[in-house]
Amino acid sequence: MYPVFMAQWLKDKRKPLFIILLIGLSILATVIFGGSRQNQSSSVTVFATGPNAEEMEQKWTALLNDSSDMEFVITDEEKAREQVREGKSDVAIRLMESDYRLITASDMPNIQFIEQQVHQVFTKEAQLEAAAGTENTMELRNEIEAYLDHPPVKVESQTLSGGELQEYNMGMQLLFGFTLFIVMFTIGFKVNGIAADKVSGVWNRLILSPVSKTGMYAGHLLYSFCAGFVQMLIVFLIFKYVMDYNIGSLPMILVIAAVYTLSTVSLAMLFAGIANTPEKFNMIYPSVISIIPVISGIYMPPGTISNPVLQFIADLFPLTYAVDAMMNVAIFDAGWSDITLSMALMLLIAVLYMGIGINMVERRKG
Amino acid sequence: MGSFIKKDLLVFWRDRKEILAALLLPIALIVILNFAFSGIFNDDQASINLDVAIVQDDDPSAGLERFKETIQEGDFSQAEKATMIEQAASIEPSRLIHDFFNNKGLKEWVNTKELPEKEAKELVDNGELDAIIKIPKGFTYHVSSAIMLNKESEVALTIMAEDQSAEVRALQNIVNSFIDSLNLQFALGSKAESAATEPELPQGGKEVVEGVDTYTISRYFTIAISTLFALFMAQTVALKTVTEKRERVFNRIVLSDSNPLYFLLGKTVSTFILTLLQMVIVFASLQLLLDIFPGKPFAFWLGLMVVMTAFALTVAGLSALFTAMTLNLTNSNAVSGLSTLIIMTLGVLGGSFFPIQGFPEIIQKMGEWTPNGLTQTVLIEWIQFGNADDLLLPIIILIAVFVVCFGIGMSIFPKRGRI
Repeated sequence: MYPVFMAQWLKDKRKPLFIILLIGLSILATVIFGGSRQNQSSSVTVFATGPNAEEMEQKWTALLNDSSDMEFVITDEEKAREQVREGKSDVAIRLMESDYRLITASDMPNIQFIEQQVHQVFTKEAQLEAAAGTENTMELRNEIEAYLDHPPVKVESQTLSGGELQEYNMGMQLLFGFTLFIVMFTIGFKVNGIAADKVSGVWNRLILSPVSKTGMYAGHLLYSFCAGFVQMLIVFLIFKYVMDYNIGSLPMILVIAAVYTLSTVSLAMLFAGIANTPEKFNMIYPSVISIIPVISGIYMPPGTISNPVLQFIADLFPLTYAVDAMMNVAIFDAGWSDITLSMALMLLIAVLYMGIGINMVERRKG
Repeated sequence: MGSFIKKDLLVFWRDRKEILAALLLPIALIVILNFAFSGIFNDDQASINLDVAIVQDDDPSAGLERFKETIQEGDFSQAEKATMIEQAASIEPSRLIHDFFNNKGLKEWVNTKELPEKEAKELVDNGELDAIIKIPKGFTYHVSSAIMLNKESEVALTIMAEDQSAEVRALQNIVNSFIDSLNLQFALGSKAESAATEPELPQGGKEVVEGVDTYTISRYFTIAISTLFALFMAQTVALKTVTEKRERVFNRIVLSDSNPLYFLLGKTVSTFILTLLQMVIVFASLQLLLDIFPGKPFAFWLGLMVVMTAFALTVAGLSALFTAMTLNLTNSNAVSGLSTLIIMTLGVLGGSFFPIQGFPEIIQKMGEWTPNGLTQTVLIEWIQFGNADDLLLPIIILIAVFVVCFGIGMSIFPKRGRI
């Protein structure tokens, strides 16, 4: 096993450009895309028309921004309309004296949410003004605000056991999801080394050498494992110590990452078994892999994908389990026992796919 | 040159796994995603279905009795006491909550039933219910005294759920906005002295940009995923070169009586044909399966076809670039790694995996310049406005990208004596 491992390492060491480029760019992509969603609130453009447009804009944006975590930005009418027209933004809001219109050309899901928020602000304002009558609304507003600080009816959310219902951190999910997703490519290209050795004849020469079959596979797979794991290790270290994200207990995250890497190596082995040659592997693997996060719902809040067929397909890949486990650790401070199930399933995938994959590779002649 | 094109088409045709990956995968994916999403975000929104249990721990009449007692003990005049009791009786906070959930508009998508707490918790645990709304003990009493006597309310309406999810968030939104307006009413009732004028409620509403067809999520998926898979096609065809190099097909071609550049041309043209076929088949079958563009005129399909042709040309250019790269580099893994990297970058930046509206503006700007991102932007406008003038510039850009890629491919194509 060791010589095979070393052979892989030396191949990369002699021509380090490719692997460095691959890992470097993967890390860069992860940091940019995973990180860019952190602490980012979505913004909505607003504008008003007419003689006292500016006044209206100031008044309503102040109220709107106060009421929600979305950011309402003043833009001029033409630009706002054009952005909606060209599909660059989903919605813009035209403000009027005491009314509003959503300007939209699409039917995207978040529009309803925005409408609800805006409607509430406007309704509240209308009622305030009506109550104040001709008097100054400012005074009444302050009184009402003071009253609402201690409202008669309160609402709270909690879990079944009475704990705090945590707000789901979508940025964190993307961060983990992207890290785990991109590492699949690095691992895939490394596992493909087996197929490459086969077509180049190196594999046959190795069979004649004292190295055992197990050792040959183990050497290749261990090297793929290391390449993938090192990449993730670097990414998580950057997240934790350079970008200062709160990703939870690092040892636990790394253990999950290791188990995930193992099952991804198996997955890549399965693909190597399905494809005959390294070229076919390179065609099939990336196109299948790149849609796994979409199906697993990594890009969307949990619960978005509730279709049983999709869920079944997603369950066949380790990505969902790993993201789940990592989220539990990072957000809900899960202990080892909470993530055991995810880990066990990933290990099961690892064993199954590795078995099937190696079997398929071995059965092929030549 | 014809024989080169035929060769590449045949090589593709004989590998059924690839045909499956190139045709069936995008179609299946779009259909599945479409079903998955239309389940939640339908036009009429009625498809969110919340199953909620209301747990009534509060006894309204006992609460009212207790409130009466507090009032009687309090330091008020008889008349004040009477009005306060009357008002408290008319409010009935827990009935307000029930009424709200029995409201006809809300009933369409929130199913409520009253259950004891223990049973409700079990059902939530099993996943049969989404959440519990608990009206706590003493709710009537505390709310009434908060309104009448300005006491701080000690109990709160509680939403209980297993963990945060889209359904729970929707419920929280509904309940919060209801309670907010309720509180505002109480606040106004306590502060505004005179019964003021009727409020001029905002009408709100949507102003759909004139004369346009909306851009739905199923259209987004169709365009995004079909352009993504078209990009994969460039890689699929180009990477066949690796096999041809290994099996010395390329060397034999060099020795034959044909211009080696025909090899590159054959790849480019066959990629163009395959990509166009792929996109046409994907769009056609989705139109037949899901009716993505209902009632569109012939001109719309013509424009769509023109854009697809231009995009297929760009993909062919990429394929030429990848082919030339493969011939130059010895490490086949490096080529596939590099081409995958290029395609993934284009895919992510162009918004083929997920809408990139949420990302920083600079990434969005870059996305508009990727061939797939550009195609998507153009098609959005085409679907919405059907304005033929808007097509011209993007098509020129797509063709220019093809020319540039093909030019680079030609220039790095191995010269005489280098093979």
